[in-house]
Amino acid sequence: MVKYKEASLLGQHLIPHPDKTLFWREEQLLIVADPHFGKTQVFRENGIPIPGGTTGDDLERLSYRLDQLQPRKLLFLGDLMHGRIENQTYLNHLIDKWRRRHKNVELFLASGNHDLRSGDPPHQFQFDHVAKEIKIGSFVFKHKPTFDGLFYGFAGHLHPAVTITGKGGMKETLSCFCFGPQGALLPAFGSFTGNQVIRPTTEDRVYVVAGDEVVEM
Amino acid sequence: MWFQAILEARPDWVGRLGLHHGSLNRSERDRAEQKLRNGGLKGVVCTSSLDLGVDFTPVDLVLQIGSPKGIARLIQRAGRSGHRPLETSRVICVPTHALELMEVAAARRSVELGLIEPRDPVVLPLDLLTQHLVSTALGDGFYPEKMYRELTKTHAFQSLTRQQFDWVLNFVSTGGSSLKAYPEFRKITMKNGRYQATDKKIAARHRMNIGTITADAAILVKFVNGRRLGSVEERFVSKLKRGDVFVFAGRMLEFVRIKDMTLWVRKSRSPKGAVPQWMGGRMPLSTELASAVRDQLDRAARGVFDSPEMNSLRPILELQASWSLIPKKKTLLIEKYVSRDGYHLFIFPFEGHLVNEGLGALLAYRLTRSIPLTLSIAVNDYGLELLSDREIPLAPFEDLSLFSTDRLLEDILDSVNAAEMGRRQFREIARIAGLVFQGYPGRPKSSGQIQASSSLLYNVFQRFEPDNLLLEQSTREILERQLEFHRLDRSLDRMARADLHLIETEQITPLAFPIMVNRLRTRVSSERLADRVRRMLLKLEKKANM
Repeated sequence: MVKYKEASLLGQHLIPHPDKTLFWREEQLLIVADPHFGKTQVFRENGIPIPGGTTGDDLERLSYRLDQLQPRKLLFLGDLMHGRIENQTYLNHLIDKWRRRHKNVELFLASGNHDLRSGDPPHQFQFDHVAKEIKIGSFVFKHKPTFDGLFYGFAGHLHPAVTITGKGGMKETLSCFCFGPQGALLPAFGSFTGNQVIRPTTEDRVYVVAGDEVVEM
Repeated sequence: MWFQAILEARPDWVGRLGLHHGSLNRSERDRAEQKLRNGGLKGVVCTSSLDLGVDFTPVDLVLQIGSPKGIARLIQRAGRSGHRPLETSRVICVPTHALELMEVAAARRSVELGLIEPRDPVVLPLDLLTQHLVSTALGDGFYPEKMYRELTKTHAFQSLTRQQFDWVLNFVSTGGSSLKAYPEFRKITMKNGRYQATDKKIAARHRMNIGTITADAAILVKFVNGRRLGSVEERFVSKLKRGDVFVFAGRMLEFVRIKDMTLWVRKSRSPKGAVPQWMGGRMPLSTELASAVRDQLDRAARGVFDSPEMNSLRPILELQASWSLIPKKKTLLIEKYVSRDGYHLFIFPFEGHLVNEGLGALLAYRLTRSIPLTLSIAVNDYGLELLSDREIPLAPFEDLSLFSTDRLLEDILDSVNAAEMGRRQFREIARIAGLVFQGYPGRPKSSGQIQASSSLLYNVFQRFEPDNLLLEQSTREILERQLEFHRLDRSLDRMARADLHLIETEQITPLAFPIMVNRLRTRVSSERLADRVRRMLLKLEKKANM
């Protein structure tokens, strides 16, 4: 099995994965930011013909990681559903199938702005906890990265990426995990999502998602 | 820029010098055209915006700024001058950099010899067809049979099969298989056998999207009193801040504020300002003109400088000869140069930048096939550069295996994928077909909910609908128009038979320099992303003091 590098933070061990998930070893908690499930369907319902399959793929990727790590808990950091969907049948079916496969995982949702617009999450998720901010141990989990410094925070929303350069004209813009002094930014899990370039400082620790590996910069 | 400079030199021409280009507001352009027609202008500074379609009385003189890039183009523009029948047209070429002198000399010689490019119109642009169907549906509507017959009468669609037509029709009416479940979102609907577009929202969006050339979002430029001037690209505006001055529509403008998609400006007295750039496609040097340029260089290599242009260029070409050499017609020149940035190889096929791009991708693909190597490619009309952070093997050049025409078609197809050229081409196609929306100039893009980059769309199509005809069009257009298989084939053949001169240069030569400073690059790599990333750096900012 592939061994991924761990980041240690306040005495805890966190493992960033190339599928953009983050695993907190001590709590056996898997953290997933900005899935934007159902995004291509929102496009279709607005008249833009894009084929489906993305949400199914993404749920499958998540299942793979869940099967591999067998965490006790799974937490979504906001933007669970991309938007309001008229025809929910197929999506609910996919979610239901997925939840049944992982029915023993304690499921959390730290809700964000898209979630407000999309309405309540499909009940097929059967969330155990839904709140704007969720505190576990000495960490707090929320959608937007407004860190007040009281507790170390984990947030999504930005879809962070950094631009790295090398000799020979090499240049890449890659999704990343950014561990700052007050909080961490997680990359967007959804495969049909865009990125926003951030400018980390010398106080940040950055891990880029480089294909099938996570590389510490 | 030219407009300002001319007015500075001739301040008495104020009010009598016109300006005309694609990003100016229609009313501004109309004013210029009107004044031109009734003789109220001393001159007009324009782009290809005035090449076709606008009727005006012949002018006395045409000044071609920069290289015309083609002989036919030069003749056509020159033809705008000459008042009376049988009077000769006059055109003066004004090069914008030294090497363009070569192109001017070559163009003149070609005109003298009567060598002109054959016309090469577009074939099977399905993205344009989608636009056309929606536009017609918004007007009187159409009957599918009649439409198909009309289309096959045109050159562009003479080979359009019924199957392809049905696919496009399906795409715009039901969104193909993707929108089957959403009957309410059909772009155009059929009633009594006739297709018509009824949704107002779709109509508005379509009208906004068609016909623009820029690929970046358009920011409307307006005076604070409300008068519209035109639009500039978002990329340009993002570099400006309050108080900055830039030149546009013949005026110096000061950035007042930006809100949504509108930039508010006021007149500025400042003598200097930034100049907006548009990322529109640049005309490549035509095959014929490129060949003529090689002729000029051949003569220079033999010490023959027989035109005023070539004599002006002589010092630079002699520098080229002393640091490297001036390529003769039978020479293939390759320059190797090592810098802080890595290892550079400059190859000079002289085929125009589109074919050079194809050659670059092909050569890079062949080089990276056998060893892990990452290459950055840049091109211009004369040549291409391969850049790597590691030594590039030279044996494949010396043994000519790189220039083999064996398995050429397969290698070209593979190189197009390796260089991700289809993805870049898909950008324009996605916009024209209405998958990506530019946004109304002056109003924010409609809900961020349905905003996606063409790159994301490309990924989804590749993964879930690889037979999508728009995807196929991307690849086909690259192959047919940009790579021009026959040209590549002939070009490789010529390079394989040429006298190869591989020179390690101590300085960047005059021929190499313009390619090296080119910002637009493609990449081909046979290495794993993680391996490349480990050789790269992230520059961290210093934390600001609070």
